[in-house]
Amino acid sequence: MNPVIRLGSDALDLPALASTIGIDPANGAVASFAGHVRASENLTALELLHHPVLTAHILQRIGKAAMAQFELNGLLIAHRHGRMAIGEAIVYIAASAAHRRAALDAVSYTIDTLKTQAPFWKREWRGENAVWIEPTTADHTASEQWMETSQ
Amino acid sequence: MQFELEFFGPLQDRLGSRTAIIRTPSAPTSIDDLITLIAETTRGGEALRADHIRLAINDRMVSRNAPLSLGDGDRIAFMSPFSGG
Repeated sequence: MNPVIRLGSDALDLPALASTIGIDPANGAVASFAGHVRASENLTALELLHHPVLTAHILQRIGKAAMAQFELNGLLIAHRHGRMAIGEAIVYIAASAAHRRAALDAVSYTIDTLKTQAPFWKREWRGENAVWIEPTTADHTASEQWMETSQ
Repeated sequence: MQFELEFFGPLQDRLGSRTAIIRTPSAPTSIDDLITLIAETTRGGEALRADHIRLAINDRMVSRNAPLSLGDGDRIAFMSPFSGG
C-alpha cells in the first residue's frame, strides 16, 4: 500500500482528514500530528513555498520509507502551501499500524524527516516585510536521529 | 547552449530573481564548473557555492559530486535548505 499524499493551497480540514485513516480492523493504533502557524510578535502570516514537481515526489518517498520501516497499514501526509494565518494548520500526518509504538514512531519519523528533506521554504510576514525561516540545528538533529536508527 | 535556472527559497532574494537564463558555447561538465559559470555572469551567483545548496536537473535531484551531462534547454534548480512542516 502506498502513502496518501495531499499537497495543496486549500485550508486543511483536520476532522475530514482524520476520518480517512484508521478504518481497518487490522489497526490497533492510529497516531497523528498537526502542525499549526504559531503566533509570534507582530506576525501577520506564514508563507510556505514548494517545488512544483519535486515536493510531491519526495513526500511520497518519505511516506513509502515510513510505511516500510514501521510496517504501517496506512499513512497520510497532508501539507499545505501558500499563505496561512495564525492558528491555521500547515501539516497533518496520520499513521495506522497494528501497535501504538509503530504508529507513534512513524509520525515522528515522518515530520522530522519532512522538515529537512522535503522541498518547502518558509517565510514569516510582518505587514509588508518577509523574513525567510531557515531550518534549525534542532531540526537537523531530529532528522539525523532517524537516519542513525534505521542503519 | 542555453539553460534555464531556477532559484528556490532565500536564494531567490540573493540572486534577485526566481529564474534566469544562461547561455554558453559549451556545456559545463561538473557542478563546480556550472556554478563558476553562473557566478561569473549572474549577480549574487556566488551564493550558489555554499555546500548546503541542493540541485535538481529537470526535476531530478542530483548530487554535488555527480558527473554533469547537460543538454540544450535543461532546467537547473538551485534550492536553499528546506524548512517544511
